[in-house]
Amino acid sequence: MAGRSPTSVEMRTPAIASAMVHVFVLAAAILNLDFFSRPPLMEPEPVMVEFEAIDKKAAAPTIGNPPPQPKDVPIAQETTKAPPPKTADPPPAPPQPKPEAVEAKPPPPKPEEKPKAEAAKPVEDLVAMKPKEPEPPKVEKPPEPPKPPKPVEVKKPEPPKPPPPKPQPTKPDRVDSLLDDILKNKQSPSKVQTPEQQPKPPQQVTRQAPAAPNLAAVVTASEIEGVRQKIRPCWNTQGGARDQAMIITLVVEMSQNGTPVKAELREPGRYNSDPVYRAAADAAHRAIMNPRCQPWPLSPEKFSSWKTITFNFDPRDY
Amino acid sequence: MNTRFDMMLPRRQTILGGVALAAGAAVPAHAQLTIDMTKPSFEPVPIAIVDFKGDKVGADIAGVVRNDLQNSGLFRSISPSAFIQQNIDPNAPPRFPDWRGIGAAGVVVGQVTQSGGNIKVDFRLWDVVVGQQATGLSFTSQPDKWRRLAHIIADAIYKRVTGEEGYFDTRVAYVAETGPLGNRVKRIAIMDQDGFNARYITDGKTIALTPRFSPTLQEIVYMAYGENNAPPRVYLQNVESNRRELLGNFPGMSFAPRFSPDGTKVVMSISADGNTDIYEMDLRGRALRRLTSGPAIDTSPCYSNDGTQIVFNSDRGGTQQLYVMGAGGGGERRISFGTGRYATPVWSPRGDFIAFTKIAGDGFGIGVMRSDGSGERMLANGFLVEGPTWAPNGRVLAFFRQQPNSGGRAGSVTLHQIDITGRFERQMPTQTDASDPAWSPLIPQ
Repeated sequence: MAGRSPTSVEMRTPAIASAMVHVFVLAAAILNLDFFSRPPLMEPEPVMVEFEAIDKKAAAPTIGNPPPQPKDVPIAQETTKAPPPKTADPPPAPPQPKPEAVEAKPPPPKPEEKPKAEAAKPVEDLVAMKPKEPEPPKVEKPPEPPKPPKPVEVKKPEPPKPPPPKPQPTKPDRVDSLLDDILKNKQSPSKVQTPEQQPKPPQQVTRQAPAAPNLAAVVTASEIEGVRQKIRPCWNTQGGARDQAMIITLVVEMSQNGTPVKAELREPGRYNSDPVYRAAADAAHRAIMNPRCQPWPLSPEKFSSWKTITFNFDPRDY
Repeated sequence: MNTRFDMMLPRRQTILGGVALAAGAAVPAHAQLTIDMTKPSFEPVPIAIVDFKGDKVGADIAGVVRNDLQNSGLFRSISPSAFIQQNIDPNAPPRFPDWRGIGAAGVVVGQVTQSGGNIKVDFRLWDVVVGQQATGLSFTSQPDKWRRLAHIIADAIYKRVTGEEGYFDTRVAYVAETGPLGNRVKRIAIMDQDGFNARYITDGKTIALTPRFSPTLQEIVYMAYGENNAPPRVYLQNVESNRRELLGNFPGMSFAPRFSPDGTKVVMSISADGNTDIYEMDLRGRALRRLTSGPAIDTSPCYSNDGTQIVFNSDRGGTQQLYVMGAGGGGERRISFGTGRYATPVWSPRGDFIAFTKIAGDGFGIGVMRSDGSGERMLANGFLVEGPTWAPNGRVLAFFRQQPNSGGRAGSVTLHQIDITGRFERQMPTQTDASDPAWSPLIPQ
């Protein structure tokens, strides 16, 4: 020990360090670590984009169209049909493109060329659907500006087709996938549409939400009760009949000043054959037609809702 | 009485609401608004009855019609002093606005003419609200029968408005009571249902009780004590001729008789050897058949309106309760289960209810229940109310009510009638105290 020289010690440490580095490098080379061999970044495939005027389709497409509002809604509802929500036209986003056209044209190197689309249909504004970022740049092609497009479903790339990249095999490209998904969702599933696949003409322009009832014309429950209270003092029966289980239905036509014009019985046959029913029907008829219990408190503005009223009289007293 | 229906008078317009209500005018398939009406008012129908023109008896006839309809409780007769239109032509429509102005729902007009020694009465009922004739009839009869004509007209109006048969052309038999409470004379009397034409049909020498009308003939059966302390017997008597006959001379008491619906049998209670059971006698041959047996007291039998069952009261369960059995006996089942005791059951002519007397701790009551015992409800209560009897239309009952005197003991006893709804109780006028009423069927025309 006393014989070690200071110089050897100073030289050893750097040497050791150097050796370690060399060992490491060699090991890496041997093991072929990834970061040494990362494949080059692939650029996403160009996608075809159709540009649409934004006002052609404002609403988002929905699945299916709501059924048309029935005209004569029951009870207090008749109301006029509410106007359609707004877009009369927006056809669904590219609907049915014809499927198979996809490969119709060879994937243009510049995708956007698909014009033949003229497909008259006004297609959804895909731009709105598109994700925004990177792709667009890609597209750059759009020489023609927005055009009638066709539905395009641009969707899926050609990536498979286009020769090269095809790296797809393994989710090659996150961005591509994202774009594809988006485009896929827009269209009905699948299918890329080529320009030929124009979407059909927007079948139902009536794709609108159910018409809301016109509340201003609905006869309210309190108004109905007001009519009852007005009529009831004139509705006199005797009770005590053996068979009291009966309903007398009268259909009453009204005048606009709230007075009945005439009342018609729905069961004329029973009226002529059953004296107890006849008496009850007469009592109900008198109740309707008695001027002492008129006019009825109904709003003239709602006349269309009460110009014909069906009354069901139940004369039971116990 | 010789009464002839000449039936419908020519309608001046279509029958009340008939055309408007029953014609084939198209009914809109879909009304826009539907309103359900329940809980009607049970107010009497306001009706104006104008004195009949022609013979002076026309005013009397109109007066009887007013009273009948008013007494039913279902009509409110408008006083003639309120009429606006006068000198109405009975063969022409009235001025409907005049009658609407006084609140009338209907107006009755008529006329009386002489016809070969008889009188001919025509009347029309007009529906004021809709402005059409409701009904019109014509009758011919002997002049001294004008009250019956009035009752028949009242029945026709009652039926047209309510849909149910009337009951005004009927009689009521009852026990007329006279004398001091300690020495009461009780005999059978009969009167028109409005209290007129009352007369006795027994002489009062012995006590007569529980009169009951035949459904087909003007005959009654009743129980009367015999002379010289003979036990009570059941008698059959014709109210027109007063001819009377004894129904069976049994060793023991026979009492509580009632006719079968076809009038060919009488069911009664007979007590013998300390036992009281129900028997049926065929009036055609006087054959007697026993319907119940056992140590209990079975009494107050009453046939159902179709004659297939009998309701009676019995203490076989320990207290006085109501039971129903087949008309030939057997299959007894109890139907009363409320608090208290039940007696004097009477089956409605409509068949839907059984009326009874109920004795509870705080007094008496008249009630009704369905034939299976359900739906029990009381119509009248009091110190003493008893002995219900049905009018022939099955919705009006008569019974008797006794008020306590100042000493708290039984006082005067009176007849009352009441509607099946429990409304419109009124005292029936009698010339004496009266009890145990029995309502006749409609008098044959």
